[in-house]
Amino acid sequence: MDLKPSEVTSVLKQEIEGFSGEMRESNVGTVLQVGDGVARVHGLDDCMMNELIEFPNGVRGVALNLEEDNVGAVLLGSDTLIKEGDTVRTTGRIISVPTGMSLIGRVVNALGDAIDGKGPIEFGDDDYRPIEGQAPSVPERQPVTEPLQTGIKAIDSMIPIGRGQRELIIGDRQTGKTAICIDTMINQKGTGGGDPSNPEQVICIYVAVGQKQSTVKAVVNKLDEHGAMAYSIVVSAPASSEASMQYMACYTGAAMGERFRDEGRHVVIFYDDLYKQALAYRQVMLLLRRPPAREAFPGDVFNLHSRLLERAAKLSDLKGGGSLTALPIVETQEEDVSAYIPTNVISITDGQIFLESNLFNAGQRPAVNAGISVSRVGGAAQIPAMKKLSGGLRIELAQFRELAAFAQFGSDLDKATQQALRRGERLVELLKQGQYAPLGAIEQVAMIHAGTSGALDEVPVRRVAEFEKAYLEHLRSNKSELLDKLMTEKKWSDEIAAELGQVAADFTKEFLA
Amino acid sequence: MMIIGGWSRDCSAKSRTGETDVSLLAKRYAHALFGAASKVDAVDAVSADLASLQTVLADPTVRAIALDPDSRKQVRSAALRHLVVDAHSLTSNLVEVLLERRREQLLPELHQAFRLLALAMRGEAEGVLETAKEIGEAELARIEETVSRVHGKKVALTVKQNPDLIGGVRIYIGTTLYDGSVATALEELERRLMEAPLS
Repeated sequence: MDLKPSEVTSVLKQEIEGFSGEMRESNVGTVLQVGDGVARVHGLDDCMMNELIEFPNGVRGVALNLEEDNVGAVLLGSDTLIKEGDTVRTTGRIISVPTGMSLIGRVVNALGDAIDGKGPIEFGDDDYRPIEGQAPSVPERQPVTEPLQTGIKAIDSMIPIGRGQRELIIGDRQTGKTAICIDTMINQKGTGGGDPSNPEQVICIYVAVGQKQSTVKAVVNKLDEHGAMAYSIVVSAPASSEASMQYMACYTGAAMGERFRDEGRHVVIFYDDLYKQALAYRQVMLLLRRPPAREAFPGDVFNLHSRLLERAAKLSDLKGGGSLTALPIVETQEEDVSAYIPTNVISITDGQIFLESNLFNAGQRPAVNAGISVSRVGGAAQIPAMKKLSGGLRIELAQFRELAAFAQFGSDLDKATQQALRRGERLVELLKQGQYAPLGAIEQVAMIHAGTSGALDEVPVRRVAEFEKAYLEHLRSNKSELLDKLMTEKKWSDEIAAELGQVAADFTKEFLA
Repeated sequence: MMIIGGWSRDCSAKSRTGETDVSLLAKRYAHALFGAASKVDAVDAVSADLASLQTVLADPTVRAIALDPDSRKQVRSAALRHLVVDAHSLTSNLVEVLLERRREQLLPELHQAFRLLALAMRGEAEGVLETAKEIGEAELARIEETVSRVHGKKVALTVKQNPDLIGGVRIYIGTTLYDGSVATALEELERRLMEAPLS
C-alpha cells in the first residue's frame, strides 16, 4: 500500500474495524542452533526443499537441508537477530525473485530488492519466479544460428558467440574479463536502439558475485555513461553480503533472464564470477555439515554450475524463439585451467575465451589467445561475410604465432616467411581494441578484409590504429552505399571482395602519401 | 547422546505442547513396536503396558535399580524382566531387545511415542490451544470441532493461558500452527506499514 503520513491513523482505524480474526495456517519449528549465517530448526515437518522460511525480526531463510527431525536453513538476513528457541514458520513459497520489465535500468540484490537508491520497484503477483528454474528440454530448443555481436574484433571474428550459447571467459585477475562484458553490453545498443521496449533489443543482465562494491559502482557508472543501463539489469551480491546471497545471485539473474527468454526476447547474461559463487556455496554447505569432497567443495558443485548454465538456450519457434546467452567468468590462479572449478565449467560451456596475462602486459588488449580459445558454435553464429574472412584470419595468425620466434632473424629469412611475419604483425595490431569502443559487424568485416587482403602490408605497424580510424571514417562518409550493401546482402561475393579490395588499396595509397 | 555428522541427535527441544519431544531413537523403536502390535491387533494392550511401565519407572527407587547404569547389568535386566512378567508377549520381547542393544534408557519415553502413533492410526491428534482470556467448556468444544474439520483429524486440545496473544487464539497441533491471535495480526500490520512507501 502507498502511505501518506496523514493517512496512518485512518489505516489503523480501518484495520481495527475490519479485524476479522482470520486464522493463518503455517508449519512451525524452533531454532536449535544459529550462527555463521545458518540456522538449524527443529520441527518444520512439512517444509519443502528451497522453501522460504520466516524467522523473527523479519529475517528469512531458505531451507537447504531437510533431515529426519530438523531443517538446516541458510539465512537471508542477519543471524544476530535470531536466538535459540525462536519460533520459525514456513511460508509455503519456494524462494522466488521478482522479474519483468520494471527491473530494467536498476541495480538489485540477490533477492530482487533495489539497492541503487532510486526507490522500491513495483511488481505484480505474477512477476515472481522461483530462482531454481527448469532448463528447457531438447524438443523446446533449436540450434544456435543468430550471432550475438560483442563488438570486439578478436572475438566476433575467430571465437564468435551465438544467441543461446554459453561461452566461458577465463583468465587470471586483471586480464580484461569484465571489460569484455562491459563492451558487449555497450554493443547491444545497436540491436534495438537502446530501447528496451523494442523487441529486437537484446536485454543485458550483469551478475556481480563477491566483488568490491566500488568495482560494481564503477561498472554501473560506465554502463550508464554509454547508455547501456537503459536496457540492462545489474544483480549485485558484493563481497560484504552474506554467502547465501552470493550463492543465489546467479540464479536470481538467470530467473530474471528466463522471463524475457520465454517471452520471445533475447537476453545476454554475465556471471562475474562463478568461482566466487562456488566459494560462497562451499561456505554455506560446510556450515550445514554437508560432506566436503574435492578441495572441500560439496559433491554437487558441478551441478551448481551445470544447472545454472543449462538455462541458457535458444528456444524453438513454437516456444517463442527467444534466447538466453550466458557468458560466465571464471578467474584462474596462475593460468591453471586444469584446476577443479575451471575444468568443471569448461566442460559445461560451449567454448571458452582465454585471456592471458603476458599478452595483456605486452600490450595486446583484449588479451585473447586466439590459438587456444574456441567457440563450439563457430561459424553457424556468424554473418556469412565474417565467416568467409575469419578463416583466412585464423590461418594467418596461426602461421604468425609459429613463426614469431624467427622474427629476430629479420632479413635473413626467405621472402615467404618475411611476408607471413609482416602480415601477422599487422593482423595482431589490428585486433587490438580500446575499451568502450565496440565495433559494428560490418565495420569489423571491412577492417578484417583490409588486413587479410594485404592493404595493411605497407602500413607501418605503429600506424595501424590510425589507419583503422581513418579508413572507417572514409568508408562511413564516402562509401556508405558499399557498407549498406554489405549490411543488407550479408553475403560475401567475389564482386564485393573485389570492390572492397579496390577501395582499401586506394585508401592505403592516400594514407601513406 | 548420539552424534551424527556433528549434530546431537538428542536435541529434545521443548515443543509448545510443553512436554519434551520424543527423541528420534524412541520414535524408531515405537514405530517398530507399533507395527508388530497392529499386526496381532494388540495395540491397546501394549499401550497399556507401556503406560504402566512409565508410571512404575517414574519412581526414583525403581529407576535406580532398573535403569541406572551404575547398577549392575544383571540387576537391571532382572528388575526389568520382573516388571513385564505379566505383560503382553510383545512388551517383554521389547524389553529383551532393548536390553540386548543396551537401550533400556528409552523405556520411559516409549509410551508417549507409541501413544502418538496409536492416535495417528485412529485419525486423531493432540494439540495445544493458547489463549489470552479464559475459555469455557462449550467454546472449547466448538473450537475443537472446527479445528478437527480443518485439520482432517479428530483433535483434542489442552488449553494454555498466554497473555502475550492479547486476543484470539493459537492452536498448535504437532508442527502445524493455526494462528488467529491479535498479536500476530498486529505484527503483520506493523510489517505492512513499515514496508509501505511513503507518498
